[in-house]
Amino acid sequence: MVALTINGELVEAKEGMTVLEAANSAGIGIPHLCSEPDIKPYGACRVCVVEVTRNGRSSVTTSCDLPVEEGMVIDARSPAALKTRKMMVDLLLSRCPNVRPLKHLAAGLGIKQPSFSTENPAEDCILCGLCVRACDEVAQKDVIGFVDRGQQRKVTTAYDQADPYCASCGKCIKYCPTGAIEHVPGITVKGLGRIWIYLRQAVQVGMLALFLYLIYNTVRGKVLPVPANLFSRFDPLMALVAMIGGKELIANMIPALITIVVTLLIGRVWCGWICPLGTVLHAYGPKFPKLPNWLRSIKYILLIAFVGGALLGVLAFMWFDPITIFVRPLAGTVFPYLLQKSAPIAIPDGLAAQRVAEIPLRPLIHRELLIPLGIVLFLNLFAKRFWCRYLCPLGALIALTSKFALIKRYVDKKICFEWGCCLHSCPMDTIAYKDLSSDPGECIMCMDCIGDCPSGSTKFGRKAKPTWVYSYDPSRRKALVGVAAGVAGAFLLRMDAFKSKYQYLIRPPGAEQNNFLSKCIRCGQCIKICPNNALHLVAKEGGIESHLTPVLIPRTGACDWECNSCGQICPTQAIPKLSLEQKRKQQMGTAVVNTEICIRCLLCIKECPVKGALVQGTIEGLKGKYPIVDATKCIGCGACEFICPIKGEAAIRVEAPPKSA
Amino acid sequence: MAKLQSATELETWRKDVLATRDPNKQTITICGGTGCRALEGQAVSDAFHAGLAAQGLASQVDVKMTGCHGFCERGPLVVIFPQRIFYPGVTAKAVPDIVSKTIAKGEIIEKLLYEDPATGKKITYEYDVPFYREQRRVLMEDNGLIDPTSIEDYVAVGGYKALAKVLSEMTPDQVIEEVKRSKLRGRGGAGFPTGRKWEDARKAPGDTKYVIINADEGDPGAYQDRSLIEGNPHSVLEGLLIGAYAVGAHRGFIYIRNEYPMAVQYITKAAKDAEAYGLLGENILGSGFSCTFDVHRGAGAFVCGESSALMRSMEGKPGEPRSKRIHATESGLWDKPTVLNNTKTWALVPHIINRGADWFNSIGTEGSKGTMVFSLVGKVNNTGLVEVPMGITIRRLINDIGGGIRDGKKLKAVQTGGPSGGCIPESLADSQVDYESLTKVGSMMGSGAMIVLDEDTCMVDTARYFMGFNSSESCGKCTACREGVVRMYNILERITHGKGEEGDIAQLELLGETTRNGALCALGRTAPNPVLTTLRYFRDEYEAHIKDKKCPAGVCKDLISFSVLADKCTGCGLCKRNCPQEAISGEKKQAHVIDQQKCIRCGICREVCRFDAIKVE
Ligand SMILES: Cc1cc2nc3c(=O)[nH]c(=O)nc-3n(C[C@H](O)[C@H](O)[C@H](O)COP(=O)(O)O)c2cc1C
Ligand code: SF4
Ligand code: SF4
Ligand code: SF4
Ligand code: FES
Repeated sequence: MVALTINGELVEAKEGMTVLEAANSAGIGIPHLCSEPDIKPYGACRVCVVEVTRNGRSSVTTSCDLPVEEGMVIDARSPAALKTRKMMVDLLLSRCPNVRPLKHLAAGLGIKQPSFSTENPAEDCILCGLCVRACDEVAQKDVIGFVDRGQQRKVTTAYDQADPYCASCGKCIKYCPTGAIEHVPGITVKGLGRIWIYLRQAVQVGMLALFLYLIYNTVRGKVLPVPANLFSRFDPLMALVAMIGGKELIANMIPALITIVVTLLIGRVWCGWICPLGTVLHAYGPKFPKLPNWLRSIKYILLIAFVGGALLGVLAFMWFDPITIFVRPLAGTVFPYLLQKSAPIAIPDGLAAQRVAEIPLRPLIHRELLIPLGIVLFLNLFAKRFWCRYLCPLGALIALTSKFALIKRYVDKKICFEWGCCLHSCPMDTIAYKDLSSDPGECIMCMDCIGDCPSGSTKFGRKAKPTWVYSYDPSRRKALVGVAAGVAGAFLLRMDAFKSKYQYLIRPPGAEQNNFLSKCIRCGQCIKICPNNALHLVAKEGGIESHLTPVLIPRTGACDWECNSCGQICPTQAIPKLSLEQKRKQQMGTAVVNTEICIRCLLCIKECPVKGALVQGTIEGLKGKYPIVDATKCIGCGACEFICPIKGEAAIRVEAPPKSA
Repeated sequence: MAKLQSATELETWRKDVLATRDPNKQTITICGGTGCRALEGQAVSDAFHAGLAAQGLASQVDVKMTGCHGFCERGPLVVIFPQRIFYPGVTAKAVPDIVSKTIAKGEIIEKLLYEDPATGKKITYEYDVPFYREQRRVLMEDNGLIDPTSIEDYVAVGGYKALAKVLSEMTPDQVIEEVKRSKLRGRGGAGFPTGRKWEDARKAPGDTKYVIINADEGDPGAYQDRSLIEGNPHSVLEGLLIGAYAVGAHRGFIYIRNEYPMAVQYITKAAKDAEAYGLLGENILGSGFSCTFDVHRGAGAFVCGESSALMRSMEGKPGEPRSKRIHATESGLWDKPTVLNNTKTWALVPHIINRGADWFNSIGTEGSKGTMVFSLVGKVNNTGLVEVPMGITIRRLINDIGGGIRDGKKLKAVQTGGPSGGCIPESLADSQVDYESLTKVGSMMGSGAMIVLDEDTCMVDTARYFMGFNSSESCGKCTACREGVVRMYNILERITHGKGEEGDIAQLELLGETTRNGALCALGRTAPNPVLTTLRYFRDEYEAHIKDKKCPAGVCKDLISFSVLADKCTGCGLCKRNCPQEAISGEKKQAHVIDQQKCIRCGICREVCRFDAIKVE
């Protein structure tokens, strides 16, 4: 045994050990880059410099190749040693400004910025020679080596080509501290979990296809074996908000519970694998925008605000749900447009045809519905999944849930190479530079990171505890802000000034009686299933709270006596699911005759499906026979209004029932 | 030829050789050194042969092409023995005259003689030429006398006497003792005591040991080792054999750069001849001691002169230095105890054995004994190889031997020690040339290059030049040297281009200090020297470049401008005609002007102007 002093501590070391080894075994850390226990010292990086004093003379020298000697005094932190080490790290950092272990080391030495500029910031080989020595000493292959001198020095294989002697043992890969071995000619570094990425992509594509298929067929009016509102019914945000708003359990939304359970088990897979909007947003956009992290808290605040609003029965914000954002333009704009191109919508002939052409009603293709989706897609140009990271309230709900998920992403530090490959793969930019950990709330389980992990250290399993440590995580303050915003918003919308006085706001059958506004999640699916093109989304006539809710406009089509589809498709049952019998009894409004313009053709009477609701009669003070409405029988389906041959506003119009207050 | 079986047989042979030689026979020696060969030395030699034949003197006169005489500045050199009549700068045209007058009639040809630039006097004899007079020639002594391809010539001047003495009269320990007593230090740069190195290797366990001659000589401007091998290859070989005997090695090598084909050829021939005479190989001089010899040609990387890199290169690996924790004397070439010495170190050994350690000790200073060969180059009148006793002052070397600075300019500094040596300012020109003193002033001995810089030299630019060399010669293994040196070079490059910034000097000093401390081998550890010494002695020049954007010496193109001094300009138009950019205009007999926009600052106008009318600032 040899006794020496390292950093003021007396250390016992075995004969033949190096100072670095002796320090390590005594638990004293000396920074180093090119030294590994099972490989011979080489002395390339010069980071392990220490000041050594022997026989009263001191000098700065490397410790990784310095054999211990009795009575030697080592100071790894003396001013001279530190100055030299700092410069060595600075020089290496200036060569490879983006290499993680170097940046760590530099930060530890107080280097904020490399002192010298580089022409090739992508350079990541620090020329430590560990790969060369691993190949020579550990693998005993001697396939890679250094060529050239000075600045031109680089690691390569013979003739820069894959070498037949290379056993693909991966030893070099394991020893490379920076990941530069990936760029050594003839050496291939494989990510280990590619298969997961392929699987996910297949699922995503399948889900998106299914989603489009459902909507397309809904628009076409085709009946499918799968519920057309499938995705909405799995949307827990819709479920939560509609149930809170409607203050009742909505049987239709039970599947959303499955989403929650799945999230509790395996995290935010909804976002990574299922959500059709998410799939589209995953496809493009920069992964590492220069945007502040606090933006991520917006989605939490929005979520809380929406729930707050729902508590007061206001669901107007739900047009901000990702499913509805995606459904509406597809159902209201894209598919109608495509369908119209291929097979123009049949326009009734005769008088009705004329009227449809003349009536200045809103166009059949609702172009404005494209705007929200357009904005979301546009924002994605600034950050991949911009919407998911910063805005999506559904994402926020699922994120909060996945903080408690059983299975989460973690990095097995024992086998991690520390190259930081995963950093570059994460579409949510949630992997921390510092320790490669991630926020389970932000992680969408897309597995892009295991696809790129060369060491197999990125894992998904029962490991990580819930973390509530991120600056953007919802805090009590943010929750209060959210609730306040929601409540204030709700009150604002409910103010008389914003209330609609529009007397023709006719809701789909059964809706009015059903606390409609507190349940409708503004998905727009009903308008497109309506076979008569009778339902439309109101823009502003209904007041802000009604924005993007369905309304019946009989001039374009009446509620079909033989149809109850809207109740079937409504995911939150804001339009109740009714049998045809029940539906025929729902009063949507009441027809009112405008005797001033009525030409007494009495076509409407012929059209009215309800027995006794519209009959011939006389009106006091007027000559001739007029249609007379029996308000107790009329259900407001609008068949009369539709058929009325008067140009512009019909002479018989359905009026909404007076608001309950 | 039968192999010599003993020291006595060697002496007998020597007598035989000498007997055939008449010391008074006229001998014409023509310098065959690199410098003189470049100046058509070979043609001169041919002309002599032809001339003598024509006059029917061929049998009475010997003609010899020898190794380098040193005074390369005035080549091709011709010396006529026995009188030692000295004709510098001889052309083939002058040869018939020499043959018909000097050789045939003993007449001295006045106009061919050397004229001392200091006194203007003609000098007839070689030993009177100040360049030679002031030297102390030990290693180079025989260069001008012998034909390097002739072993007889070497034997005639006492060659292999030391080897015979060692093998017949001395034990290896006695040899080491003698070398130790001589205080001989390595001539390869670091000045490590040679005796101690040998002793370490002798004591190292194992039977297989090696000795190596380091003839890599990669410093720009240095050619001493080359001249020695080209002039007297047997002396190096003899030294190596003595060393091999002392340390117990049976294989010797020379590591020589491939760019020295003649040296390679001569040393190979010398080894072949020596072997034929039983002076090399099995059972040398019947002593029972054997040693083989191989020539290893290096590819010419500067760093391969470093001992561990040299050995890696000989092993067929990349020429990369490795940590000096394990000494080569314990584990060197193929991990066997190895002694590597510089060519000059080896060649000094026979002299020490022959004349004794005390004689060697009588030359030089307390810490540095013996003589040292320098290549004196740069702005000095007499460039060439000079051998001087250790401890001579720089000023004497330059003024007395070098004949002062060219064109009457002033001495500014001397760069010693090769590319990683330092610049010693004129104010310190009275310091001695020995290991300690040079280190004290921030420079080093190196392998003996000495570059004289005059007042027209920009020191920042000089530092930049050397740092450029060092950065491209770094092997690239360690961070300090690979990255540090190039960063220093970049900063200097910026400064000389007028883009220097506040803080550059501090950064250079920090880089210099940390590179010196951090580098793995001596290349990196010494590479910052050019910067650190110029910063130490010429800081104001750096400041002028950085702060005032001026190059005081008028060298850095981005910082200077040329203009015509109207009062001196005669309007001769010479500059106008020579300017490659047509930047100069002016009527005949009128003062000319330089268009600064067009001027590329090449300085041609200044060179051609006969009236000193071009000003640079
Ligand atoms: C970069 C570098 C280049 C060197 N080049 C030479 C050289 O060309 N010739 C030489 O003899 N020594 C050279 N040396 C010195 C050798 O490493 C070694 O010290 C020397 O050959 C030992 O011989 P000596 O003890 O006779 O000086 C060089 C050293 C370094 C660091
Ligand atoms: S590739 Fe990696 S291990 Fe190899 S020298 Fe470069 S940084 Fe070191
Ligand atoms: S965050 Fe929202 S839009 Fe993004 S994937 Fe999740 S649910 Fe879909
Ligand atoms: S100091 Fe320079 S030459 Fe020496 S090992 Fe380091 S990089 Fe190579
Ligand atoms: S760890 Fe010692 S030089 Fe790299």
